[in-house]
Amino acid sequence: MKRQGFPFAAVLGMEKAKEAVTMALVNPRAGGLLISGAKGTGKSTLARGARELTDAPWTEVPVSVTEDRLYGSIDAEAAVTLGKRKLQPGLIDEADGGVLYVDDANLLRDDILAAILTIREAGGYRLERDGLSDWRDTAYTVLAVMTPESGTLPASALDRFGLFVSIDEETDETARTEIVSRTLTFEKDGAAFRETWRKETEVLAKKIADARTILPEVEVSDAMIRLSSVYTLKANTAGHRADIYLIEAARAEAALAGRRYVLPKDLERAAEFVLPHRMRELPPAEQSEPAQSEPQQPQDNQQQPPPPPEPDNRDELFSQPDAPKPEETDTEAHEGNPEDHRDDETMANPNTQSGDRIDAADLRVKLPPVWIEPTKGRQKKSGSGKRSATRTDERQGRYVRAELPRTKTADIAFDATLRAAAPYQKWREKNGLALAIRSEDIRSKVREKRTGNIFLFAVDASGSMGARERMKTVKGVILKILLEAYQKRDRVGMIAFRKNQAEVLLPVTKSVDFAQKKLATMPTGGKTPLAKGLEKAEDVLDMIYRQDPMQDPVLIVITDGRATTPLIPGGDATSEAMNEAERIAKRKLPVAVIDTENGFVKLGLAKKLAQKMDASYFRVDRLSEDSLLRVWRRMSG
Amino acid sequence: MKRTGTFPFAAIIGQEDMKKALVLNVVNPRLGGVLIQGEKGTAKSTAVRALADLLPPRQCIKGCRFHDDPADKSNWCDECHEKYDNAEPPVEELPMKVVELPVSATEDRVVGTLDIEAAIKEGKRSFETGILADANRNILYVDEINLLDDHVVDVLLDSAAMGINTVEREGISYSHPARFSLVGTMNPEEGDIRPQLLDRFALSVYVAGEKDLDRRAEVIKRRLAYEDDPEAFIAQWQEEQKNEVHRIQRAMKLLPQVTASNEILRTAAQISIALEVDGHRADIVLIKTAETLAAVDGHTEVTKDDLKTAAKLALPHRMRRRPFEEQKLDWETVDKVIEA
Repeated sequence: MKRQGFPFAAVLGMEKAKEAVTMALVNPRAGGLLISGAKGTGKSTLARGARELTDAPWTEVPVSVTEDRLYGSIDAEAAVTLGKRKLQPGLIDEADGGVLYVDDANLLRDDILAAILTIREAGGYRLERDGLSDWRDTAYTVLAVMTPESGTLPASALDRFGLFVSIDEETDETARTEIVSRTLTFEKDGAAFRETWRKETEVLAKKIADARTILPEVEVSDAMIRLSSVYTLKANTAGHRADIYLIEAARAEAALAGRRYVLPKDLERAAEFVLPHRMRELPPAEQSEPAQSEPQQPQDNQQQPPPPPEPDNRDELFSQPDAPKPEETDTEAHEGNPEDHRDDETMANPNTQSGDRIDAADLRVKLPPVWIEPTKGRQKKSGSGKRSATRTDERQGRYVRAELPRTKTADIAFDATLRAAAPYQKWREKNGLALAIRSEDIRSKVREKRTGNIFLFAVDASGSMGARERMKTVKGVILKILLEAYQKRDRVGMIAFRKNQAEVLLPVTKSVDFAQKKLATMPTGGKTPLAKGLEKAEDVLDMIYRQDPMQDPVLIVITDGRATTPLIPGGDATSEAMNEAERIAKRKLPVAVIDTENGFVKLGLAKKLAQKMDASYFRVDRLSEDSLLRVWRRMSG
Repeated sequence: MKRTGTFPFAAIIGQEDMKKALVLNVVNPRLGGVLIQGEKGTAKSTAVRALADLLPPRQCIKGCRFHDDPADKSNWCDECHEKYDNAEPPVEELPMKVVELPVSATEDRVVGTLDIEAAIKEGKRSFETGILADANRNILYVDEINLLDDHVVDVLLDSAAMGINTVEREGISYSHPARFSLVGTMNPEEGDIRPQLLDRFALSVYVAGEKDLDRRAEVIKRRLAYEDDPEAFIAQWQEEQKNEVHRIQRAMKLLPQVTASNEILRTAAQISIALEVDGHRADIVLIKTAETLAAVDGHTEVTKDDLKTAAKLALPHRMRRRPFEEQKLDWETVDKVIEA
């Protein structure tokens, strides 16, 4: 379907983004463009408008794309009717010489996005599908759009985009009014509106075409190459990709200006688009341990994304380790001297009752790199992006690819089955149908369901936890985890144990708001029925398993390990707790114990508990030393 | 299985915001839908399903799988372009529909897939339409939208963004118009909805159980009467229903004539700036809602009051929210800006 979209030229403002789009279209070797911006800023409108600026093929990759359409596959129709093995080219092939457009880059499956970017770099790919074997040359410009709040891109993907631009909404009143007015006019009569802007669109298209013509002649002097290296060194980018993109983008700038040589100002302008998303704050430290110091100041997210914390492919951008974006302005004030303002962040109501106390959450808490070992015998989940991608055997989830069924299947991949059967149709008995399918042709669907993880907290809310600052820190820790969960759409559940009981404070829910409310008003006080708490955790784990056996919930136990209330009166509270811990270990789930014990005399009970549970172990007093970011990455693996 | 008639829209007591928001979306199909949030048992689903009886007929190209509008050529599907670019398309009148997207729907049913029958019988590769095709120019209703699978949300967002469903799967390469009013209901206690999806709703309303004793009793009475004898109950409300349909049709006729002055546009921009909402959708929706309100009310010039009512419906879910804070609309600011 041909789009009669909003004209590129009629998009008000966004000069930077427009410049970036133009550069990307002029010089495919500038590495394509990623546009990032909040919802409703008009980034898709702008990017799609670019279609009219070029005669080259324009191919869109929808998020529901399947692999056969991406890479190409056997043309089943031709196979059946002509008996020929012919390729039905995929999107990657169709985009050759043009633009491959991805609307929600962060919603696309990580492996598909990676393939698109890698194939672009390689200039072709090896096709091995449905009995076809071929090397396909293809060259395209990737133009992608993303909304950072709905997910992040892996750093490796980010680095493969030559250009990056971030857009914000217009804040000027007159401009905003004009935007509304133009949008409404367009919606009322699209054709007439497009006609009004036709001339300007043509001028822009010609400018790009002209620049493309002279681009091959644009020269880059040695001095300019040196200058570009100065930029990339200063920005401390990883590898040499940045240099190439910078020079190619500068060539596009020069060509757009009608010049046949690159000037420093071209590089300067190009740098604005080439460097922000690959800039790193600190020189790469020489360490083997991935734990690494993080940027000291919250970044200014308005203009550019924060630097990647380290060249670890599994890391993602756009999540702030210690200053989640929405509360940036608030935390900034405290960031400088964390010792002050100890008590002024009250999240909970301060009233207490009968010796119970309610602590506010300490939001300045930083989390340790919690690294939950995948327990032996458990398969490690694949996927490095947004949480676990679980392969499902049920007929739910996204159809990823087809395979030979391992058992009798009801979830037949008809397209793949058809392709498998197609080449043999000439020789088969067909009973009047166009197609004869035999059992050996049957392919089944491989589905993938991207589920958020379940995090189950078992929190010790006994009197000993109420000791000054401790509960505050713990709440801060939980809140931090909740914050991340909020962005990742994880589900959380919470169990609190104190006095003589353990209670499910929060049934497993997606609503982290609800969790926060419960957390804020969670009182502490009384003795520690640790065994009971763990027992309750097992109950909840059982329930989760019944609901969805595919889930691997993560259990996080927060306690000092000092059990004081036994299950049976007169029992030994500590040994009971250890027994429960052993039971939990048998589940082979990822478990973490966060030890809150502090003071001079340490009993180390929580550590013992962790050993019994085969859990990862962290001490809360060390929590303030490291970054939150890695914690989460690791845990969600 | 034959379904008994639905509970009449006009018989729903209270929930004025919800009813208004739904009606606005019928009057102006381009408005952009509504999200209805509220606890269980507050007539959310009843209202949406009841809406089906109020939907007016509209012109469609006969035989088109996407019920294209004969007058809106720029949004025709490829087949209509092929057939009628140089010929007058045959027209039929079809009522607007409420197309339901069940939470358990699979992606291939939503976007469409390979037509297996045609493949086996004729060896042809053709496209079998999905729910998004049905939804074109209709209301797409998702009950418990917060429980929708993430990847289904992704495809919804993908096509909602441009009003086109692009299918590149299972050997099929196809795209068709998919412009729909998204109507969702949810109980916020059961989980959040993704911000990007939330932003796609033009309007949002919160519904709560009736607090007034007498009205509460009346709610129950009507429900019981309906369950006792649905047909009699529906007949009893027929007159009211007709009036409602009439009001909607009158508003639809008036809508194209409604204009918003530059001052109103500017005020909308000021509100958005003052409230620091994300993006420009708020401004645009504010104006469109105010225009539709004017049409429903029977006047052709958007007034400040229209804008005020529009703000109440269009803004609450767009407030930039910090995690773990209530999303609250700052009414004082809105009033101040409008009255200034």
